[in-house]
Amino acid sequence: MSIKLDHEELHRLLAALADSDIQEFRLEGEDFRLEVRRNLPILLKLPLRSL
Amino acid sequence: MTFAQSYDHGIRASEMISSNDFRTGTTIELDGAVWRVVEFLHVKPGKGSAFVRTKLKAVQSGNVVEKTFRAGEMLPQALLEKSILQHTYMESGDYVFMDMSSYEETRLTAGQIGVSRKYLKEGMEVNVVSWNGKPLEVELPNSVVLKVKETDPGVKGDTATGGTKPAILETGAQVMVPLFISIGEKIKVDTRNDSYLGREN
Repeated sequence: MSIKLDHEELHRLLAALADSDIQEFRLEGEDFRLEVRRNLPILLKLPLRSL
Repeated sequence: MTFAQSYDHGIRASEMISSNDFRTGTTIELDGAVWRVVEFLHVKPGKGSAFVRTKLKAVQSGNVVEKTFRAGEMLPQALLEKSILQHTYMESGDYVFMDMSSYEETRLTAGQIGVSRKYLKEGMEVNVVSWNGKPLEVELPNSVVLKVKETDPGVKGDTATGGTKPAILETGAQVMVPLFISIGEKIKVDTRNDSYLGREN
């Protein structure tokens, strides 16, 4: 009972996710894990002098 | 009312698991049976509430169902115990196992063992998985060494063509083996996918 996803299917899935309002998507099976997140907080790197 | 809400409130908090923490292999208790998460899909939409769609396999019967939970829904976790037992003998169709440290016997029916029994041989050590003291399933080692009982005559020197033929092993399991394998030889088999791994002396 394993999940298989080829490149084409993966691209279709990512395109479908991009068109949706889904913020987080996690699919897991035996020997398979796919995690897609968007709008993650951006970590700003500040120069040391400014600290 | 969700199952978790209607569940016996006497259960300890440590035995509950959030649907957010599901992983493949997590075991939960639903309707008095133990179910193992074999696949899950966690979706958090922009609007609306997140959910976890799972594929659950009943540990005892092997039935597979799909069930959707709210993300964060608390469910009773089925805490399974594993013990190493040795398959000692068969009696009246039951498979008898012995704990070699306490000499305590455990009996399992063919149905409880399921397809694993095709590789089960007397003297073999296996993991017996129990829940609330009740044996549920048998986990075989990933590979076993068994003797070939029946197969077409071996073709000497044919190690390069990659051809295979069916062979019946001493436990009754049928696997595909290379053409050069003969009756009486010992072979190593992967119990997870029934594949031939090699010859054993």
